Order: sequence, then C-alpha cells, then structure tokens
Amino acid sequence: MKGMLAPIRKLKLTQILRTPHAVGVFGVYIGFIILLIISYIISPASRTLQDFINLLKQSSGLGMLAIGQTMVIMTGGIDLCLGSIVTLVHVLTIGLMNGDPSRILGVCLLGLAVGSLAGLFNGLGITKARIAPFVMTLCTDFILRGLYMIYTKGQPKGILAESFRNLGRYRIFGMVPLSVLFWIVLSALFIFILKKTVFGNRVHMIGANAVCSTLSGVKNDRIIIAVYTLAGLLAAFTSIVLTMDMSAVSLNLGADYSMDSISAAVVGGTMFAGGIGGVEGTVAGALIIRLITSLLQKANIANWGKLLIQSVLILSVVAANSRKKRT
Amino acid sequence: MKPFADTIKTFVRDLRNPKRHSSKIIWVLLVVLLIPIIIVIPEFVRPANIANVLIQMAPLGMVAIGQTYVILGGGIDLSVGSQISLISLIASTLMTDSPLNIIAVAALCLVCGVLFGALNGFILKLFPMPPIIVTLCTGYFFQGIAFALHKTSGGYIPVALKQVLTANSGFFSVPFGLYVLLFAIFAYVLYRTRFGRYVYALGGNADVLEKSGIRIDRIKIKTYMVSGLLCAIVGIYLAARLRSGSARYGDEYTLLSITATVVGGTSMAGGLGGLTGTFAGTILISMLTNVLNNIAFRYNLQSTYYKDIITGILLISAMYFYRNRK
Repeated sequence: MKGMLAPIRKLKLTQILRTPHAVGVFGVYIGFIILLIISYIISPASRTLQDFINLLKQSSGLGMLAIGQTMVIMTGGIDLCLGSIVTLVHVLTIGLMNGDPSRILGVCLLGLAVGSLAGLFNGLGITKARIAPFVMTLCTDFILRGLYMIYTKGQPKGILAESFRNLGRYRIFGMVPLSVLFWIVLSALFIFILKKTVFGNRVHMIGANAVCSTLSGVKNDRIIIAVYTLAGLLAAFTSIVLTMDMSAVSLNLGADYSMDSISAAVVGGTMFAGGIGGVEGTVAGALIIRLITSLLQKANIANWGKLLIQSVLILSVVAANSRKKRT
Repeated sequence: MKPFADTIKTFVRDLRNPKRHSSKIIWVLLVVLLIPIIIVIPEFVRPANIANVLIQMAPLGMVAIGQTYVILGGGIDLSVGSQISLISLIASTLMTDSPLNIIAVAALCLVCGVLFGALNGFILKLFPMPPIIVTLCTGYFFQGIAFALHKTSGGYIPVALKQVLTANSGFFSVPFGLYVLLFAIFAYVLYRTRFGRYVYALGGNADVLEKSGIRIDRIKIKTYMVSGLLCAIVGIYLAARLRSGSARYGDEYTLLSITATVVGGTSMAGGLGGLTGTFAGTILISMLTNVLNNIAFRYNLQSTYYKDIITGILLISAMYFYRNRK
C-alpha cells in the first residue's frame, strides 16, 4: 500500500528510499550494472562507449514499448497484442510509403492512428464488454496478425523513402541515435505523468483497488481505455522508430515484443497484482532484457535460450513478489 | 407471432440465468449457421467432406477437453500449444522403427505430458500467482525446449504409427474414434465421479471446498495433469500425421481450445459449463474452418490468415454474449 500512496504526497529522499518499490528500483539498476560488468568480463571487446550506445539503441524500441505495457500492468491488466501492433504498423508504413518522401508524414500519422485504434478496441472490450484483459488482447493479437498477413499476402513489399532512412542514420553529436533520444524523452515524460499528475495517481489507484477508486469518484473505465489506447499508440510509435533503422520489410519485427515488454516491466519491479511499479524500473528492465539477448546471441543460442531465460526470470520475479505480498 | 416471441424471451432468460449452464444456444447457433452454409456450399454435406470435418476436429476436440477441465476449475492453460509442439518433437526425436520402441516412446510422451501439467499445477500450488502468468511463462519455457530440440529436420516417425493413427474408412476414422472414446471417459469422470464434482466446486467456490476438508491443491494439479495428458496424445497424433515434429505445430491450439471452451458456454471464472458445450464449440470451429478452406480455395486466398481473424472475433463475441453471467 505504501507504494501506491507514495506518489500522492511529496516525499523526502529518505522516505522514498524506505518505500518497498523504490528499493526494488535501485535493486534493478544494481542488477543491470552487475550484469553489464559480467558481460564486460566475458567479452573484453565490448568495453567501448560505442558498444554501450549500441546497447542503448537496441533497448530503445523495447523501452518505449514497455512504457505502455508497464501502465497496462499497473492497472491490473496485461497486453499481449503489442508485438502484432508493431508488425502491422511496420508493414503498413513501408508498404504505403513505397519510396515516396512526400507521403512520410501521412503514413506515420496513419500508423499512429492504427495503433491507437487497436488499443482503443482492447480498452473498450475490457471495460464495456468486461472481457478479461488477456483474452481480449490475445484475440486482438490474432486479429491483427490475420490483418497484416492478408495485407502482405505473406510476402511484404515496399521500400522506405531515402529521407526517412536518413533519420534512422542520423546521430546526435555524431554518436547518439534518434531512437535513444525518443526513449529518454518518453520515459521522462511518463515517469512525470505517472508520479505527478492526476491521471498517474488514478492509474496507481485502479490497480491497487478498483472498488476504492470507483467509490472515490474515478471513472475507472475511462482511465483503463486511455491506458490501453496509450499502449497502442506507443507501440505504433515504436514501430515507426524501429522502421527507420530497417533496410527491408520483416514480418518477424514484432514477434518477440509482447513477451519482451512484459519481461521488461516485471523485471523492472511492476507487479502483476497492479498498483505498484513504474516506468523508472522498466527502463532498467528493458536494458537488462536486451543485454541478456545480446549475450545469448554471442553464444549463438538466442532463439531458444531467450525463451527459457525469460520465462524463468518472469516466473521467479513474480513468485518472489507473491511471497512477499502474502506475508 | 406472440408465442414465438415468448419462446425467444424464455430462451434468452434461461441463458442469462446464472444457475443454469446451458449449452443450448450453441447448438441453435450451429443449426442456424448450417442452413446458409448448405445453400452456399452444397459440397459441405457430402459424406466425404463430413468425414473430413470429423477427422479435423479430433485434435482440437481433445485439447479442448483438457482446457475445459482447467477452466472449470477456475484456471486457464495457455501452455497447451507449446506442450503439443514439445511432445511432437520428443516423439520424433526418439522414435525408431521397432514396435517396442514406438510403444515405449509413446508411453514416455504421455508421462511427459502429465508431468508438464503437474509442473503447471505445482508452481500454482507453491506460489499464489495468477494462472495466466504461470502458464504463459511455462508455455514459453516448453517452446524454448522445443526450439532447442528442433534442429534442421523434424526427426523421424515410423510409417507404421502414421498408418495406425490416421486409418479411416467411411465415416469411421481412428482420430475421431479416439476423440469419442476420450470424450466419453472424461465426460463420465466430470459428470459422474467425485473428482468431477470437486472440479466444479473448485471453480465455483474454492473456499467452501477447502473448508469442507478437500485438498484443493491436489484437485487443481489434477486438472492441469488432465490437460497435459490430452496435449500429449494430440502431440503424438500430429507428429504421426505429418511424420515429423515441429516447434510450431501446437501454436494455434492455445487460442482455439480456449475459444471452443468459452463458445460452448463454460465460464472463464470457473465452475460453470461443461464438456457438452465444448463439444458443440469444437464442431462450430471445425465447421467454420472447413467452410473457410472451401471459400479460400474457390477464390484463391490463404485461409489460415482469415482463420486467425475469425477465431479472435468468435472468442470476443462469445465473451461479450456471456458477460452478464456470474
């Protein structure tokens, strides 16, 4: 309960440190640093600034997507269709742009609209039709998958406009890619929204105790719909940012993102029970997941090792939390 | 017109009555759907096609039996797809031509299936976590092992096993026969034994069950073990049918089995519903799949893509329809 109430008051640093969630967040960052040191010991070649920036770049997509997932999990739900939104928007963006620079803006806006609509659909199903979140989003996942397969007929086509790809190649100060900048800005924005705004408080409240929030006059349905729509919008934005870096169309772009974003949020200290967690932990969660992925890729067992490690990781984190809550 | 409207009203009231677990509506839906289908696609009712639908529905039906047990007990099993894939790979990796080996490996697969189910149940027993998270994670875990086992080729399954498991003549076929047999056994267990009543009670009100001195953990583990066993049977059958194993065979069965169960009137909250509804749900899905394949073939489309969409919409509308129960 402390974790839920924490953002409502202004807290001194010492008080923040005493809340269970804050300790968890520091733990996650320490875990990331330990993991980073281990990876440096294993492969000395990666001890460069460039390599660290590469890690940031790889994590940026997941990081942005996981912001949405974090908010959804905080309301007590789960979103299993984010990966499909990423692929659908990716395929649409490239297919409709088809090398024409004048269409960039329109196509991007359309992509964002598609993502938000998918999220809105989830939100409406969960609140108005009272369908369990995982069933609803699993269904949406299948529907979206069907849609992009029908659109591409299994063989995606299209090329990116050169000016759009230049955005992906652009480096701020010759080093930092745009995607990392977007990630930092969005994370900061959503940490602020969740901690300091009325909307953020209500997200915490619904997850912690939905009945209580209804009784205090919060329109739960609206907040939940807004959260799922935001998750869809962020997934679409992530997809567009990821597309900037792609040289060709891929139907597998979003395949891992649903699972990865859940892992990032949960490892970052957001609890499935709802109400506890935040984007500040998810940032480190995304870094950890991507670091593990890159280590596994170096060992050449990424395709199955990742599934094993992530499933055990999520289970153990959730199991540890469940024990803590019960006592 | 008046009595007809009244009948409809009583019928709808019956459905909305939470005390009844009626699967009537799904049977009505089946008949209502069948009429336009027969008009548009007369080939659908040809005996050869009907036999085909029966064969196609067997694997889904078997998985859905297990899923119904788990959902009735208030849980959910999202790992069925991965369990099927993993079992198919275990079978195809270990099998050789000798009959003794075939039997031994098949038995091993069944044991593995039960163990996978038991693993789900034990994790749920040890930690108070939502079953969605647990089975989602174990599902990814099983899929991970399946990918590790799935090297370049899908392994080897002897011809003899394929011939036995896919034999058919006229309306009778081994897969459908097996399904009917399993359905009879598990329907008997669910409706006529003490364990079956406990499964309903577990989903309906676990607290009361626990306070009346029943070890609910054991009942819960057993429901997952039933699901695992049936997944193992389907895994062996799918591997035998295509004579190889794959880490992707089971993918579609997770959502399809949940859809068949929920469309058939089993409540996601547990304790309400039953296997007869699931049977109707399975028929509905197999019928739609068959019709879809037919239409897709006619217009040269890829039917699997549309199948995903239709399954999703079907499950959403079923959940929407049953939203006022419980």
